Amino acid sequence: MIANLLTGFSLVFQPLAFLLMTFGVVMGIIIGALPGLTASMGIILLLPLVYRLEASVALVMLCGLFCGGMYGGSISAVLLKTPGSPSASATLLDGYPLCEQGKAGKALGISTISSFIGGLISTVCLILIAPQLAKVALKFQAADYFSLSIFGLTIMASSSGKNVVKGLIAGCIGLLASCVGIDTIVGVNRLTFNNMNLAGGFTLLPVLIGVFAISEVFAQVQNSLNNAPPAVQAVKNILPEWFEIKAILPAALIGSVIGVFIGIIPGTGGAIACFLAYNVAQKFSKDRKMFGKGALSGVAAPESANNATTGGALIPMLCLGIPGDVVTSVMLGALILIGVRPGPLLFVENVDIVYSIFAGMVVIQFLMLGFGLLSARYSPAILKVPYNLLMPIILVLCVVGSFSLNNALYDVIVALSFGVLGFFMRKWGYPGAPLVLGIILGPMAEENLNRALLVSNNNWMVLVQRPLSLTFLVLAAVSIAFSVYSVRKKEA
Amino acid sequence: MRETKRVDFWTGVVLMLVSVGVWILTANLPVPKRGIGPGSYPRVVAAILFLLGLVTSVSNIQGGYPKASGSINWVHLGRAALLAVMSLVYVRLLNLIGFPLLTPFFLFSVIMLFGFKRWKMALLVSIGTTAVIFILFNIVFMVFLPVGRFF
Repeated sequence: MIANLLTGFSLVFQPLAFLLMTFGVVMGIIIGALPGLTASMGIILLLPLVYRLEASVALVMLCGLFCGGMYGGSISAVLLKTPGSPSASATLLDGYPLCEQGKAGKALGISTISSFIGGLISTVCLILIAPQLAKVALKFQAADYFSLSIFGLTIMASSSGKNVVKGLIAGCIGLLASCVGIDTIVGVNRLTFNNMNLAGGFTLLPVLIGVFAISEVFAQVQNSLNNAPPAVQAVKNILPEWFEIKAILPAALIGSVIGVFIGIIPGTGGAIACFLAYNVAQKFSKDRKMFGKGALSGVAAPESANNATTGGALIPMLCLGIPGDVVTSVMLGALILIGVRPGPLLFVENVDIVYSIFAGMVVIQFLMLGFGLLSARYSPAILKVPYNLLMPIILVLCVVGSFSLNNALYDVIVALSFGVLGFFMRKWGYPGAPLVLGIILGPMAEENLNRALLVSNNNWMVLVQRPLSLTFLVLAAVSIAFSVYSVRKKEA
Repeated sequence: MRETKRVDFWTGVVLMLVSVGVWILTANLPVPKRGIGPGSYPRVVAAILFLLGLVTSVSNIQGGYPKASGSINWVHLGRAALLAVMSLVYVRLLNLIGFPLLTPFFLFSVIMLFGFKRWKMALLVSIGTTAVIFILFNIVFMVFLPVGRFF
């Protein structure tokens, strides 16, 4: 492992890799800071660049954007009382009161240091856990893979929206969309309406661009007339005192542990982790009465937690091909575009890629710490970027990005169509992530179901006879039942 | 919430229709002796989608046809629709007029649609962004954006 890690470090310290990784972190911080722009959108905008790069270089850049974006969300949470991403929702509870007290710099400093602690701990867990999980996953058979993809889809569907039925509908639409095109088993046209363009199915990149980026631009144009540049106070005294760092350490450690654990569970993510960490840190804190009024630990716990989900979320994505959250589902799509299929075989066939991600994640935390502390002073300027200039540029980048895949305008039409679909789904409360995951996991589910039935002579019981497969199916059922129960409980 | 209820009811109906459509369209696909055929998998998914559509429709019509409360903001929706139409027209004209000529006009009109008031700045950004993207993609990424039929 050590030798592999050293090789990974030598890869990420190559000039191009290091430069692009730094670019990813900086872009991530900027994108994360701007409310309405998410890390997933940032990754999508970089995709035309990504699939022209070497896989390991592209991946460390995306990881940089992922971690930077997760941290960047805290900037607007502290300065504007508006989280840049849902993962920073709990940060504003104490971050903004600190800002009102004239301590915005201190809040941002604590946020940066806590994000660093969370990110580093989660990276260590990623390095230790992922190879072991991959070893277990190597024993999976076709039936297990089918059940795993069903589990991944149901858990994403049941946790990414307020209504589990809407999540499942989105997932099923994704599965149906993955059926369009020439069938891989027999080779006949399926649901193509004799349209030659549809024979190749829906390519992932235009779908991602449409669902996550174009739909956001459509959503922003609705209320853009009222957008005025926000008033933001100046940021000073960023570096906290040593005693303040010592005081927030317990909260940061609690947040890190919770973040890693939540991150590993597919379909969850930073938004859940930050609130859970905030509540637990408040219970164990000596100055719990200060929570909500500007406690530094109230910033440290959620910020360490949301950044700790990054390493955690990469574990199921790399080992099983099941994304941990929305951003990793986009990263999964990016990996497939590059030609890397995540799963246990990745740890056998592409060890260099895996360990360059591990090494990259370590370096990224230090880059995030450095750039976070350096850029905090200039963060008010980032927040003044006019949306009504930025969004049109993003739209053109989306058009060019989807065109660049095959130099075909058909892909742009697909992106626009999924953009419209994504817009209405967002408007009516249907989450976009299960739809994309359905498109990604659909072929995997179909191929493995076919293989399992071929091997077992059409015995459907094979899905429940294998313990692993049965476990995944039971977990899928439990995740749906739990979501339905939670919603009923809230309504009662 | 009531507005969503009505939308959800009709979404359920549409999903059921889509499911029936998929079921019919996959009826004539070959069925192998072992394993699943190309039609079986989409049919299973369509059946689940039908059930989910049914659940959505039934759960939203309990207590009668939901009334629409709260007016739809047609101005907001119209702006999004206009942007979608503008984008579609832009894409359709790209091959004819070309990226370098068409994009500044498209960008400028979208910036104006987004409510940006300083038109000189908007014009500058439109031309500058088009130039940067065109050079970046054509030279660095080797993605040759359409130049139109006039060149």
